[in-house]
Amino acid sequence: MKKPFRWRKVGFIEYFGIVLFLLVAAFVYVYVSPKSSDILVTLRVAEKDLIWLDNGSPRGIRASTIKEGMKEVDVFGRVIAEVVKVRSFSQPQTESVYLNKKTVYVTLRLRAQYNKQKKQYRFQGTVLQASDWLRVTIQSTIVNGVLVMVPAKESPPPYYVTLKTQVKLENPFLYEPFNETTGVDPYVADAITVGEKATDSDGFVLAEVLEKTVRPASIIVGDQYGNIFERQHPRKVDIFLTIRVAAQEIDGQLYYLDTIPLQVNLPVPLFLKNITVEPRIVEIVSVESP
Amino acid sequence: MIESTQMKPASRTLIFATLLFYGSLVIAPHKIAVFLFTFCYFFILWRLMRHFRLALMTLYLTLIPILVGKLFDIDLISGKELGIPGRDFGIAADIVITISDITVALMGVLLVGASLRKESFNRQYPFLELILFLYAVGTVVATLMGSVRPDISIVHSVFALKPLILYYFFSLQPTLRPAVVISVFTAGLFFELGIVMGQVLKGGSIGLVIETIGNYIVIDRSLDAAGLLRYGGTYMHANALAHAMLIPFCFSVSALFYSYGKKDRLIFSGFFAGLIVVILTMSRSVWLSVVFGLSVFFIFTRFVWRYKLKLIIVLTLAQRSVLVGVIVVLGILMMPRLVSTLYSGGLYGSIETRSMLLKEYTQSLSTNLMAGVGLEMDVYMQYLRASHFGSRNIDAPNRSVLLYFPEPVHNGFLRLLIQVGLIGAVPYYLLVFSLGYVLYRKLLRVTSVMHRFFGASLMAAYIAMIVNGFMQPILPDMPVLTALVMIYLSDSV
Repeated sequence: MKKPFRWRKVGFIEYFGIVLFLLVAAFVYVYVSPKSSDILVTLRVAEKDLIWLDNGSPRGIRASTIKEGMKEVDVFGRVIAEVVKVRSFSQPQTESVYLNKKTVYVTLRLRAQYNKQKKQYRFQGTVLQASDWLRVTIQSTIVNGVLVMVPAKESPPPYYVTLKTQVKLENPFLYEPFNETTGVDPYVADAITVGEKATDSDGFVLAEVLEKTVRPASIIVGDQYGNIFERQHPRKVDIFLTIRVAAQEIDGQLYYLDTIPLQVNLPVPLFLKNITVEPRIVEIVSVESP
Repeated sequence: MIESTQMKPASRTLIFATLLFYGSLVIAPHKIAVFLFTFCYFFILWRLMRHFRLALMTLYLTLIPILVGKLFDIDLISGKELGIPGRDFGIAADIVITISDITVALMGVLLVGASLRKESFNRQYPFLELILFLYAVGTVVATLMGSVRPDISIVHSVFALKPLILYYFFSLQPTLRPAVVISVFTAGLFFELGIVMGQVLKGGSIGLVIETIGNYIVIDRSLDAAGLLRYGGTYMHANALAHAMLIPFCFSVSALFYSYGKKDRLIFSGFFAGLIVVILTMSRSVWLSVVFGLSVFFIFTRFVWRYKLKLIIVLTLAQRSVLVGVIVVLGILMMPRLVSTLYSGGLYGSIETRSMLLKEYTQSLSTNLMAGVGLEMDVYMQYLRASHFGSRNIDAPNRSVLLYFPEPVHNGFLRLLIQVGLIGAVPYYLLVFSLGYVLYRKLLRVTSVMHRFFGASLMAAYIAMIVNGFMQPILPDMPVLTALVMIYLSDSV
């Protein structure tokens, strides 16, 4: 006759065995089973505490520590994070001309867990969503920044905008032109070469100098009777540049280097080989759609 | 004074052997030596008791008041990773494997053998076994379902097996005598006193291999506490030491009024050693917990059983004067800490910060109620929440999160609920309640004077740990509590 099950007979072996089995199963599930899927995300490298200064962008030398192909592996040697692409260019809006900061976009391939209900990916406790912060340790480098694209995708082709600009002498700290003169020293003009290109780390042309016109700077002088006259400065020069920049359109507005709006009288940073100038837009000549 | 007629006296040999073992740890040049010394001590215990399992049980109790044998520090989520200044050590999620854990693992192996040989267990409370089982299962399931970092939480959930193993191991017959427990705890009190006094004299950590955080001594920077040094003994934090002292200290109280054998001054004075340590930790919650615990002890002994409590050793006038002097000095030391609780002069006042943490955790609870965020992941989750705000500007509306982020909520029961949700926490709460219930039932049934005093001490420690659990991010030490309750539930009691 079949004996009825008596739960008091369940003892250490049974309880211990079940818990141990669950633990092993959990270990296998967490460590051995493949994670849901890989996902490509793009983040902009930034320091959270310095976000108010140049968007928290890193110095150039620190940005260069992140290399394509860097991989982080788990205990089984499986790749859980990989740097797929690094794109960087000089950071505009630096508060001091002496700072060398970079805007760095890093595209990462992350082995993340996918929540089907919420349609969200989670990597090491962080839900991968645009505008959130992500901190990933890859080998001996920390990649820390704001997620800008989840999942990552190719950037749309740029608009090419031709601009007429004038290089003015400016107070580098206040970004305000002096009232009386618009001239600059001639060596500034000499440092700008026609045909020179500003590129990002991939070699993509961000800006190109098409034309350069240099003439003696016009200054305003007055006599003892209150008459004013326009005269040429004996030493300083005015520089007029025609440049072509790569821009992207966001809500009908064209932006250069992600954040610089292309509008008349606003400066356009030109990071050339020997000099960085910020000529003011005088005229928007043409816009070439992609 | 009440004489014992049933049991063998508490063993001075055992106390000195234990003290010798603790002392050997002080001179241990490396953690490997700690292992070696533990091995030697175990053989001495085996020799003294002539019983392998009893020696193993005693070894486990010996390791309660001291955190030794940190095998390797897997710094999973550390202050370094989170970028918190001054918190370079792992704040929560370190996996610390101690000799005590290895001892329990060995017990598990022996239990498998005992079960296969069908040895007799003292199984009077099958519902307790079921709850212990559910606690372990609930913890594993919850960490797998809800953890933000299951790879870490699952490792931590292994430790949920400890109470189950200890329950069965301590229910094997024969079990330890109360006198052995008292002797071991007395040695522990004296040892921690020695370490703490060394830290007092040096004004910081001594630099021993058994001090878990080598260069870390807590300094209370709250405005009213006047930058007090707080002493952590062999623990990583003064509050952790104070919490661990609750059990041996509560047991030492019974040795004041009941002689577990000879009238031994050494065992008698264990209480005072513990008192000094508990005060020097400057842990206010533990002070309050001690008041609650000792009240329970006195309610049982004085009012339920109507014993006339009298010190077993008569102190001379000079001894009493010295004792009163020491207690007055320690009382003066306690004053700034007590004041800092009642009056907070600045942003860092205790009540204010605890309230902020409570608010933060309660908000998190609503979104992680069923399975929690994972074992030891609560602080990490708070970090993730804080990272949304982006700035450490003092004027930020979320400043409480950013300033006090490294602190877990100062309520162990709520903290567990955040970590493992209802799935993991409810079995734990049931377990705490059940242990108290069976202990209370047994207390009312025992007739032996010694077992009544022993049981009242255990009940005092139980209450004290629960009270402290409500005020600290530390829970009652469930494995130890299970082991002690099982000793008390033994047939021989």
